[in-house]
Amino acid sequence: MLAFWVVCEEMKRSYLAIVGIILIAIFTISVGYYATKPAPRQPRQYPTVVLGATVGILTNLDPGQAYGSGDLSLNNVVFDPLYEVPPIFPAAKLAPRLAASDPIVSADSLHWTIALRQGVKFQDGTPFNATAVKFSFDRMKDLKSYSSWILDSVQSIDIVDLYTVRLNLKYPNAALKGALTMPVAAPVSPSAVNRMGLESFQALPVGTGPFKYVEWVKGDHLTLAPFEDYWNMSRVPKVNVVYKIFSDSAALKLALEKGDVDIAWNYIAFSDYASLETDPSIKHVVAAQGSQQLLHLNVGMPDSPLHDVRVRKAIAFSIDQKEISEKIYHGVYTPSEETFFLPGFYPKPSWTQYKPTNIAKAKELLNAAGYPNGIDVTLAFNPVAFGRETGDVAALIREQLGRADIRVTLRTAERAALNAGQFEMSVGLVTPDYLDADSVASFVTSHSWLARKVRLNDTLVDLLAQQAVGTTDPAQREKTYGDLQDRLANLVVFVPLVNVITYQFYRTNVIGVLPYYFQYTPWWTIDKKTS
Amino acid sequence: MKLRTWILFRLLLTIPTILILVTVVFAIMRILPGDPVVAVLGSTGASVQQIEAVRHQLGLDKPLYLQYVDYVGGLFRGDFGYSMVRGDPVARELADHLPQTIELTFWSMLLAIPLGIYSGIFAAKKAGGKIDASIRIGALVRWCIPVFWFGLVLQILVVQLRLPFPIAGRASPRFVRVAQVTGLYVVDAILAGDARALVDAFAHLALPVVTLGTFMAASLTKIARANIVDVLGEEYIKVASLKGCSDERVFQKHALPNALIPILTYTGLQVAMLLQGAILTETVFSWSGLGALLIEAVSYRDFNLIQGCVVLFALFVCITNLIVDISYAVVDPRVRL
Repeated sequence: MLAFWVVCEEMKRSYLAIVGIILIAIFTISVGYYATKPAPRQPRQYPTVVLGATVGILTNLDPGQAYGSGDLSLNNVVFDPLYEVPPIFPAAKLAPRLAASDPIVSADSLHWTIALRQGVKFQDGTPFNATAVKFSFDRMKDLKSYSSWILDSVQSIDIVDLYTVRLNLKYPNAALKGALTMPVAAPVSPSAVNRMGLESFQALPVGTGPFKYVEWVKGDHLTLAPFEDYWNMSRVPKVNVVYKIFSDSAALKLALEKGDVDIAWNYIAFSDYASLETDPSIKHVVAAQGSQQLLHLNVGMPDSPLHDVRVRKAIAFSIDQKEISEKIYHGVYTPSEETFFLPGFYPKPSWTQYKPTNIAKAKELLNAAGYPNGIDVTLAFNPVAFGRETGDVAALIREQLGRADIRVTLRTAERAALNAGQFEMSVGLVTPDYLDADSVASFVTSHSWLARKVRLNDTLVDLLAQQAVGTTDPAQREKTYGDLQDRLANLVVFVPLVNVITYQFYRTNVIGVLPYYFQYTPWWTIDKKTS
Repeated sequence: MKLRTWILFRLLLTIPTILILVTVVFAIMRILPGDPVVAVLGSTGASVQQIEAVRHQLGLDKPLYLQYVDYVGGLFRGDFGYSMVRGDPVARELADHLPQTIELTFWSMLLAIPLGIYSGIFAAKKAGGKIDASIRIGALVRWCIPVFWFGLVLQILVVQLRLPFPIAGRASPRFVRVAQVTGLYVVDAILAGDARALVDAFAHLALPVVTLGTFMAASLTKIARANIVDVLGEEYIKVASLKGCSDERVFQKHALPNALIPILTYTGLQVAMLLQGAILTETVFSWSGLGALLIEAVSYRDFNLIQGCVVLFALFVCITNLIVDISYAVVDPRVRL
């Protein structure tokens, strides 16, 4: 390139300048011309809605392996699980989707018989039946992927008849219906798997859902088109959806304002909500809450004062969730008083025992624990992965704990380091994996990685969690989960801070945008105004 | 040493260079807390046993030296292993993301080199004056502005001023893409004869290339100006002038070729800086190139993917510097290897 440059230097510079000016002019005029013309290149009959997202890497669309939030949301509309989550949720109202009705559970709760919907086809024309369900479950187990643990309780699947399957469980699991709403449990087309091979199927898998995958440009965007033979005529989509990936929420916000994307699906930084709310070309819905911000206390670190429950209670008495909610989140994220924070998860306000904030009580507890001069602890957080405001939350917690002579040193850490349990305290976000209270309970039992990270190993917690998931009686579950929440509040290991909700912003020419829980996105309702 | 022998020697030297780099990265990643399984599943309800099962499947429970031997052995067979988070072969992930980085760095260099050198020449010719000072200050300011900040500001300006440039991505998602032959969108658009796709590709290149290219041009401006001013002070330049050559001829024939030779070497070194800048630029503009892939891989502790990216970056830098050194030896007959 430089040799070419030297040659050019031999030419008369004026000629080069003229050529350069002409090229720049052509380029600028072309950009201006094409960029401002409406795009005529829509070969498909449907309008296209561009959905921007920043969360999660799109790793693998195969529902037997997909585990990122992006993968799961996309698969929620390309695949039909056996049961589904309606936009307004409590768990009691999980509705059949590919199942024809609620499961018939045996007396010992170890066998679930599920009748399947008839007249359903996969997107490649293969008929859906019990064989496809068994194939899909067995395949998911064999893949041993990141997501297969969700159906760990299922030992095997039997085909009872062409449209009936029986799930045989290793142990009673009342949460299984919630787990069956996840795309990981969704049937895939056996003929497509056999025909395409694993690699191709991972890129463009085939399900029964209202959308089908058309194109995946890795790292850039993914295109979905309506499946016109979808079994539920009321849910046949009216638009193509292009799921476009952004590295940063700031870029996503700018793209929404500019009109490069129609819907900012996930995630716009909280600090940008105010400016978007005042933009007349942008509307929003409040997506149902699905996450809870927590303070994790590591109870087993050597030489840490946190092993003493009195010290942890002092921290609980010092934390002011209301102040966090108002100062950082302007009241949008509400103070959290329950461990099982979602409606339908049997929430119990067990943390109100530490309210109102009581600094004198906190100091008294520290004194009783042998720390009359206070303590020094470390608080780690990830400044990006769980929201840009996490740093502000950590700083405010430092200030709040400082009032009780709990002196906090802040540290930033990557996701992997945070999950490895290297820090005395950390700010984290918990999002249940499936819509059942057991999904939260599974975080706190001693065999969970999360509990192991903070060295929580409580027999009573394990026992209560096991009892609650082992019965399908809602009253019994409510009582047991209430006891579990009381126990957790007394242990003070996972301190709830605020309940997180997500605003979904979209341009005013888009209609049908509904709230949703987690990755249960009902994109088939979306449409675009033509005028 | 003959040129051919020297080239062979330098190529062979690349192997231990990369091996040392891979070893260092291997060690560092294993020392850092966390692994890919923990990064993905550590904040979910997965049990310790389930996580250990996945770690076993990925071979992460093997002794470190065995993991190292397995990996290096695979490298010599051309096997980069599988991405521990994505599940895809690392070679395929690299191949999928490499064209983005090549396209970005190529066009950035195409902007940076003439912009930087022309600015440097102009400043050198006006050395000591206001124009020289302005160019030098401008280059210094641009050099000091972080790449990612500059990119963000450009994005904000585009939105606020309603300029018709896309602020992120490589291609408009509202168009049907042309057939991907090379993965380089400009080349593929030309091959497909699609003018709209070509303009769309350039439009998407505009902001990231300006961001990265001006950053590199700033340093080239300073180096070019300094070298040219030095050369213009040499005795042989004075002799050429005294012999009656016009100022322009003296500059073109005597000063510039001599001044450009060190810049050639510097440009090769700048490739490494360009890759570093590409990592930040790709993140700001949501270009899914090697840089963005590497950031994601580090965040998730995807060991194989990190090592694969590092090997590729190292190869890129080594080969570029080799080409630069060879060009230097060819261009300057005084240099003997």
